[in-house]
Amino acid sequence: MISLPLLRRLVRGHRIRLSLGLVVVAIWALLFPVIYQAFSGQQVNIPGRPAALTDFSTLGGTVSVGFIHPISIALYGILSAGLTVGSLSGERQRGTLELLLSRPISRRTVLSTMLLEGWIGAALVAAAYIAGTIAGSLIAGVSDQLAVAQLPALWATATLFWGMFATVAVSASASFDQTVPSMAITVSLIMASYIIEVIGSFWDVVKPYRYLSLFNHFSPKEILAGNIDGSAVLIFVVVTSAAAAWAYYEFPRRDLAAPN
Amino acid sequence: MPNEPAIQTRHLTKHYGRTGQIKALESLDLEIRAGELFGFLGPNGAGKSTTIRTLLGFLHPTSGSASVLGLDAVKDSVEIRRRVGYLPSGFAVYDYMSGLEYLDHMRSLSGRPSMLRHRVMEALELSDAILKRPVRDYSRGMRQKIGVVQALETDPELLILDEPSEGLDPLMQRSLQELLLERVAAGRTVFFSSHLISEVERICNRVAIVRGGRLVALETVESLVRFQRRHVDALVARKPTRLATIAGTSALKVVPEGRAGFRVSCEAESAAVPKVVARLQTLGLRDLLIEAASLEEAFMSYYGDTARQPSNTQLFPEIAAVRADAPKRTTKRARQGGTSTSAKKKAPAKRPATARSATSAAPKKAPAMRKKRSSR
Repeated sequence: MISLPLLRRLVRGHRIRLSLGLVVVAIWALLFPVIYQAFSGQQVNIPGRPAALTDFSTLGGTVSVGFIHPISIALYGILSAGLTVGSLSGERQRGTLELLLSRPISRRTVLSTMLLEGWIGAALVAAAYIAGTIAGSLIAGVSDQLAVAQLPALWATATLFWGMFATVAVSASASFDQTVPSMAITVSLIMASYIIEVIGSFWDVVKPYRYLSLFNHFSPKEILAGNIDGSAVLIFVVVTSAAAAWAYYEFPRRDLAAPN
Repeated sequence: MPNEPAIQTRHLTKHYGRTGQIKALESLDLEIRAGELFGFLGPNGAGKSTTIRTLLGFLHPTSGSASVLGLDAVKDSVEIRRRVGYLPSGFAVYDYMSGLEYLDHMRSLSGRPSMLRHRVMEALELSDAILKRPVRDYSRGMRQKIGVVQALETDPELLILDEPSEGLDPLMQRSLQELLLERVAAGRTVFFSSHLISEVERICNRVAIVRGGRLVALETVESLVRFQRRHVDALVARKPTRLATIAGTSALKVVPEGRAGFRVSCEAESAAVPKVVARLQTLGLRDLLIEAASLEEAFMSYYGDTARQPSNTQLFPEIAAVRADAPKRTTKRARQGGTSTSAKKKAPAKRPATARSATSAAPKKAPAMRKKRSSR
């Protein structure tokens, strides 16, 4: 169950941040086909940088760089997980949650609505990136190399990937009365996952553990090449389901004592 | 069901902490009848907010049960909240909204039409222009007014208000009291917690006093006061003798007032008052004032044991002030010649006509109490 008035209020509350963020993501995505065109499809080797971040040999590889670049991670994180990390704990911290729950809305409905907002953010971020990529390809004159048929799959996987982090963020948010711990959990998960993937790409000691990184299972380059990894999708679904299950278990059972 | 209690708790207990070491509520039994205006008194940490939050499903009872409007507070929480208007203590709003947007949002969440918004706005002197301003620009009192509007505007069957007067100036407090009396006259039930004893005394039918999570009194305000001592102040022609021998009297003071006679003041238990009056009549009674003890004094008797709970007076500055002031007032009254001055001081301000008529529909106690208080 979803509460539409609540969803409207949540989106309205985040609309400026979300709109600006989506514009920035689209512009950011637009740059990569242009960069690809500028490098003329060369492999760029930058010492100390992982190959995944320097693969400009194909348009798919370049688009992939844009997806997993640290700036992208920060942008997507803010616009998907960041929207929801303070959803419940933030309301609790401000003292507005109890007014919300004084209305005839179940806690599960509140949770579902906040999850939906996070997923909307994730879907919009993925859409903005793809829109920017298409625009950049057109500007750079490389649109013929863009696997347009694979773009819906890329959008769906990217939405699932960032929706997964949004779900983790809501789940953490549902477990605490303050935003700081829920943010710490979410950011730690994203950072740890990302660091393992990046370090593992050039350090042999960490390499065997790259599979533990969620980023290791998200490869836009492969998706654009038409190779969709079913196991990766399954991993994202399992992590999402586990986080959601925890939130749906924990939040309705929590005691919401008077804010200090 | 007309005779169903609006709120009922049975052995309601709430402990916090992993081992349950924090005992917020201990076996609380309450029954608030439909159509009552019920006051819930206690200092900070006494368990008032915990009770309210348990009734609304924010907290899960450790043991015992609670029902609201005949519905189970745990299982039927959503349905309860459909029929209840709630104002929390320390009311918070979304700063990016205007007052109007906030109220519309809360109303849309409640799924009920706004029937009383304009009436409440008028009573609390909230204009449309004020409501169009962003909430972040509001003063604390203004925010509280918005909180009152959102709680009352859908005309819920039951109002649960946690410290509703918080942040309101005395004029607005009075307006709020009138609004609550109106709702009770319209058949609604009001359950509210307060620090302001005078507020509870002025408008409530019954009052519960909690201390350390336990109920220490559940009475009509009149009953609570009836069992308290009376202040007797009289002017008699002849010097009284043997007045102190009447059982149940204390603090006797006799002050000569020249040709007028003698000013006599004492404290008397309720049962001793007729004997005191009879004795005074034999002395040539010229003037008599019998003041019922206020709820403040009744309250103090429940919280008077500072040795056991020394923080009470710190947490309850109003009581501390009354306690500190009490001996001085007695002395002053004994010295004073005119009784009417003290009567004016002690008697609560009369309610406006609308408020009086509003209370007539509900079981009332206040008029009877006031008659006694100012009987001469």
